[in-house]
Amino acid sequence: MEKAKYREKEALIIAAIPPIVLILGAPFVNRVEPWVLGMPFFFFWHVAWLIIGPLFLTAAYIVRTRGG
Amino acid sequence: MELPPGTISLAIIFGWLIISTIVGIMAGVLKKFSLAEWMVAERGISFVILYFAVAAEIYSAFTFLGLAGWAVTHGASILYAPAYFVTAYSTGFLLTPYYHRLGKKFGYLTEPDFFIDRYESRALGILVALVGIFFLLPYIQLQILGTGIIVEAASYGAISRTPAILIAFLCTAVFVFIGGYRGIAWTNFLQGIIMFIAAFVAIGVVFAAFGGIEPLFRKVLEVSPKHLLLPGARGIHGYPWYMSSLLLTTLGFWMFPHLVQRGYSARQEKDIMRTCAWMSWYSILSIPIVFVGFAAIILFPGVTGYKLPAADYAVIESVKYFFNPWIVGLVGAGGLAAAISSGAGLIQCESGLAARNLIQRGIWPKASETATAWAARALSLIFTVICLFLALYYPQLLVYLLLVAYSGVVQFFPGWVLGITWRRVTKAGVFAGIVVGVIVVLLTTFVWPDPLQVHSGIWGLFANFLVTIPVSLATKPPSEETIRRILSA
Repeated sequence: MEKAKYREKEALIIAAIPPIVLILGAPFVNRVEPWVLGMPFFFFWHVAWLIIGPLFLTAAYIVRTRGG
Repeated sequence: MELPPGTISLAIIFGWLIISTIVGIMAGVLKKFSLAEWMVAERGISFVILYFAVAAEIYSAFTFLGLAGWAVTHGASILYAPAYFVTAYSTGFLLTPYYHRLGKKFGYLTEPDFFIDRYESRALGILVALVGIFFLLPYIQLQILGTGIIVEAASYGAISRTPAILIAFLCTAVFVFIGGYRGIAWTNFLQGIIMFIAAFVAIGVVFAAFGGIEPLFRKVLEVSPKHLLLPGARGIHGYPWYMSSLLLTTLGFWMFPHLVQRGYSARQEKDIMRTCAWMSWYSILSIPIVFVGFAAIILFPGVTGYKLPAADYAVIESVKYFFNPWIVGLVGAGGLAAAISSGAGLIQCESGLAARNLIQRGIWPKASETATAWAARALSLIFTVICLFLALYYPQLLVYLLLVAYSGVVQFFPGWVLGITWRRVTKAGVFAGIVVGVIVVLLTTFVWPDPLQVHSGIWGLFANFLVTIPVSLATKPPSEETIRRILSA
């Protein structure tokens, strides 16, 4: 039981990273340069998170269901 | 082929509507009718169906019309939407396993059912149901209006808005009535697939008009650089707006009563967890739509010399300008799919809330499960008719409410999160918190809009916590047995 709780906490921390970075990161990424993949940086930043966000949650899922 | 273009695209759109309706009806008639079946498909929806069904429900007419419309009007501040299509799934990943586990263990069918059980108060259940019904209504109306825009425009005017809306929503009412949530899940599975395809077909506009993504953005930089950054073309979306809106949607998203029910309807806890974990990949469909919106900044009236009827027409008019009626029909079917998949789930949820929490657990406690299930079915038709009436005759009436939908449902957040983590939270605390929160939201939306550029929902949530915690500490908690039962689940 104690161990399961511990893993839940770790999963929570991993899952909380994307919201924290996206919410607090706005002032640092609100820029046109550099262009990446044909997009101004502010656009690339959001597209990139749609792809890497699930990787964080997959990690949290593994930690939560299999321990880690 | 010498058919008029409207006939071709309309045949595709309505052909798709008929297929969806048949699938929705078939999914329902193959199962025995009961309250738990109609409401949450007997908690039997497995991962692949759940994933596309939830996706189709989340991405609505707003995704197909509103995202591009916003991009035309304001520019880059629309990226807060793809941002919450990432952040909201973190919250979902953390909360939905509780929804599923508690729902299965204690037989919840609606969101208020949790509040009734955890806080031992039917009155609190009625309050949550009423607030939920109130804030979901404008979303249904939006789907109906969106359907009208999509079908009218995609049929090249071959069918006007009113008959288009009536046909689409009568079909929807039939499969919601018969199929319940299982019917919706199966049709939404199909809708989720065609929406995704249609979004990526639409991005063809960018390539047809500019030859690629980079030339498009270079052109926008030259013509209207303000569209590319916060605070947007009209200068009203600065950092406080972006951050508070993102925080609000992150916390509020999984408070919507229909999404709570999707947590209940999953077959296993891991099905809903994986649905949340990987939903951002589906959300990539928002990007082509946003890009087409940026293309429309340049195309209308610049290149085509043709003015958009309204910003929300950006996607469908751009596709019409560059492609043949077959493609227009496909994108129209995708847009229609987005609208009815969300509309169906919302109507089913509204009628479930009313039947379960206002009738069975409200004014008529003796109602049997079967009677309640029939009441829910009947109410689904009544809600459809009410929403059609409002959409046709009072299209502006509920538009204001839409502004506050997230702000309204986020007021359930303290009740859920404190309810599963804190022993001392009480029914009086949560009740007072929701009431004060909703009042603050209405004040900071309509009387003093968004003080300090911070979203009204965040002000409401702040006030809500400020009330819930002290009132809880001053009043008697529920029975020790209930607290232990919920917190150990």
